[in-house]
Amino acid sequence: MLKKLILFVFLILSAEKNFAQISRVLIVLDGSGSMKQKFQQQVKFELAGNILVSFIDSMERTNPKVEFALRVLGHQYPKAQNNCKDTKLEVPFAKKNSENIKQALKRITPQGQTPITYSLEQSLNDFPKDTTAFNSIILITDGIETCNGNPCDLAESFQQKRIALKPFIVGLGITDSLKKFFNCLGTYYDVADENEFGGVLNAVVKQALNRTTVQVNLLDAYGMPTETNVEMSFLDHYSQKTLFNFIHTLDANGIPDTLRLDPKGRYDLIIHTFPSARKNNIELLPGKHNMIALDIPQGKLDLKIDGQTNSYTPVQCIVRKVGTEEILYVQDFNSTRKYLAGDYDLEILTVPRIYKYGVRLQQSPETEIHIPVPGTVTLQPMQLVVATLLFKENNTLTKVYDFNALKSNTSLQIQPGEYILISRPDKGKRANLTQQKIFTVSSNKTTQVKL
Amino acid sequence: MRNCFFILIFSIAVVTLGRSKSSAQTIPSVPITRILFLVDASSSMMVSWGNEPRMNVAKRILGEIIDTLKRKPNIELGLRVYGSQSVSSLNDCNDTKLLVPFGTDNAGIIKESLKKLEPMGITPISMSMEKAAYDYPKDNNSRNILILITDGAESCDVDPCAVSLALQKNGVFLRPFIIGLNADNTIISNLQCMGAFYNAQDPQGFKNAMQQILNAALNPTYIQVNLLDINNNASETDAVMTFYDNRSGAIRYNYTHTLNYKGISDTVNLDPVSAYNLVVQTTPPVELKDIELAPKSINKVDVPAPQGYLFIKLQGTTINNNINNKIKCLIKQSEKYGTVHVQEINSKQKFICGKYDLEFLTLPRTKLHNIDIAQSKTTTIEIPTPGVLTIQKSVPGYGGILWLNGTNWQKIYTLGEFGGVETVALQPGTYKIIFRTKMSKKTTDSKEQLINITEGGTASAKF
Repeated sequence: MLKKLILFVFLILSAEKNFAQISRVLIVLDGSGSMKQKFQQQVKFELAGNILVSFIDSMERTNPKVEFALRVLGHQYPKAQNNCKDTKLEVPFAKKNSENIKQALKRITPQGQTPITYSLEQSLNDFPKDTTAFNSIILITDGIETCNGNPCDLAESFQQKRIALKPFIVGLGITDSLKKFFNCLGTYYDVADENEFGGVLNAVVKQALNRTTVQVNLLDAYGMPTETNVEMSFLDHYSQKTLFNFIHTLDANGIPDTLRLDPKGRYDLIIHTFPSARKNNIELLPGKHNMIALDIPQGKLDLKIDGQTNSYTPVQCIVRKVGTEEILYVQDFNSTRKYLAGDYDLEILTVPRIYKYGVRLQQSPETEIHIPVPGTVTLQPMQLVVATLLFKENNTLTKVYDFNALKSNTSLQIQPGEYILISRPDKGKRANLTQQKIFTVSSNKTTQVKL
Repeated sequence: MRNCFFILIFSIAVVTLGRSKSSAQTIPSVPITRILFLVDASSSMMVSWGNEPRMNVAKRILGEIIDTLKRKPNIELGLRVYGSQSVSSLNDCNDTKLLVPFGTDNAGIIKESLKKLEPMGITPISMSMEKAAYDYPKDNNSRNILILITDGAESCDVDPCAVSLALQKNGVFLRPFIIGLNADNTIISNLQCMGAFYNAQDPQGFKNAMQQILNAALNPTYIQVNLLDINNNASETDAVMTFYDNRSGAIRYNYTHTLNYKGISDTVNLDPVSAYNLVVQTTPPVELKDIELAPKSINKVDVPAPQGYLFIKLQGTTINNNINNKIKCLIKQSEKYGTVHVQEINSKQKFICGKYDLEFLTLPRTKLHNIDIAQSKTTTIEIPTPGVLTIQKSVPGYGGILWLNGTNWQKIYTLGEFGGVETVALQPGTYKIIFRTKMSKKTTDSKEQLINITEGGTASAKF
């Protein structure tokens, strides 16, 4: 059976590495025994090497921001030795590397096993720690892993390290079993002959080097991209894994900053507003500037206590979308937060609780919610009593506090208003021992109630 | 027999709230009962009833009744009439007059005034009630009673029921009594929604109705509220019972429910003129609507109020610091909307038995559904003690905390934009802190740190 020649390209992205100043391409070349066989008129290893060198040479001349490196596998030990760690970075990354790669290839004779998975694992350390580079791996092989490694397992561990692994596979007359083996790695290219190999390599690298850029426009209520400074997450649409998290940013010109993203695959974008906004299944045009727009008009909710409080525990406000039960956010008083423009229900955890329904937040102006400073009530029982504090509003009494056994002076911070304290001696056996105290609480004032 | 009915025992230790604006005081004094007779003197009152005109029947029986009331302590009487000034063809909707204002020892004057009364006009009941509002002296501690005696429906284009309800809501008078003299269905449907309606078929029926009304208005009555536990035993107690006037919505009485020396629910004294809506101030409150009271009786009502306790705390021994004490828990009934209680950590609260949903305002929030509170039992709920994350920001910037919720990263907190140290209490879990300096113009300057928070532990992130 004719061995196939397969070409993979892995694009490795990380949050820090996706805005490419320099593009780095690592060639991982199969130097196993089977590469000695002929493909068309040439030994496969030489054929691949020649195409690579001329390609790299021309790339380096036209694109000063690209760097290449060469890792070879299965070339140091004879097949009989079954060495499954036979892989070596022959030429590390540097500018103008085509001559070095050419010389290295000349020295190498294919001979050994095909430890693809192990080589890919090692290759991750071949990239300099450079937060702005855009990195990719091209794997050229004529066959299947011979070392029991499973590149699919590797793909998973890459993902755990938040590294996107999206290969191109270039093969020749790929069989079903080979397809299955590389299935998890995604798209592959089928190479029919020498010319096509060169053409595909060219296309693949071009795509890897192309600047596919993304501008996320967060639109305000007027359709202008002024919303910013909010967390956003890019997810792989299929696996739903988070790829990157950023804070959305406006550049020096005040327009949404441009990001470089891998054009392959589909993305979901989550904007972490409250509530969050999401755009699914985003497809990028390779080599183009892609605009992604989301309507996230935001309004500010400014919660204010009118005056000085001596409590160091902030009053909390439960914010819900209007008419819903689920809590969206718990905002402290004397703070301002942004929410998507819309109507919200507020439940303010004062004593008693204050409800504001259908509070409208809009782009501008910001919405201010004021509550008065609480006052203090000091209860001074003469004996052990059971007591209940009721708040009187609109001719209705609402319980705000139960005192199961009140015997010493007790202070409570409560909102201004009219209250009724109902108490009865703890051991009282007659209902008409019930005592009722009506009192008014004012902001920042202390009301004494003797029982 | 009548005399002993009319002893007033409204010496209740509880204030009649009505229009009370006073602060921090109780009023144990005996209220004055003011009865205003509103008497029909429209032309139809000349129609004969039995063997004399209705007007004469009304004058005679009313006179007898007034005799029984005179010199009773704490009662004042007044008399207003309508239809006595303009003939009916004039359609005078303002034909209403206070003949005898409230006062003590005025029974004789009232009887004299009644004697002189000549029916001639129409039936402006609503206008008469509106004017009657000013007949009662301003007194927060009085029981204002209106007794309307009429043989016709409202003549003018105003709904007497709406007027009556509005005046009850304003605390002008308690639920009025209406006696229809041989009223037909039109009159009944026009007037019976005004208050307690009695239809007198004949003069004796009129007398009986009058006596029933005074019996109800002037005798104390009692209610025994049994708060039932889950086994229908009246063992629950100590909850405040608020009695609202069911028509006007006025707050009438608050009593702390009490078991007496026999261990049974102690009776409480209510004004029998009104009907009541009872709210037992449990958590959540329990209601019993439209309680009608029989006069001079012990009226028994059963209110299911089975209760148990909920105690909430943090797991393990926790440092009693500001962060932990701040944690609050919103409690709602499962399958129902609306917070019934906000409970603080390390506290115990009594609830009506049933299923509750708890949402602790931790970060992220800790939700527990269908927590069962059973009769007399204490359900203890423990949640993990939060850890403390200290975020050091060398410069001001934007950022937030994402929480790994299953497989999704969900934003739970927005960082302050200030530089310096920010402390956040987080439940045990995995988090990412995302941050970018304020001045930065590049998205890729965003930094992120993966943080694991353990129970009660500490962690830090630096940017």
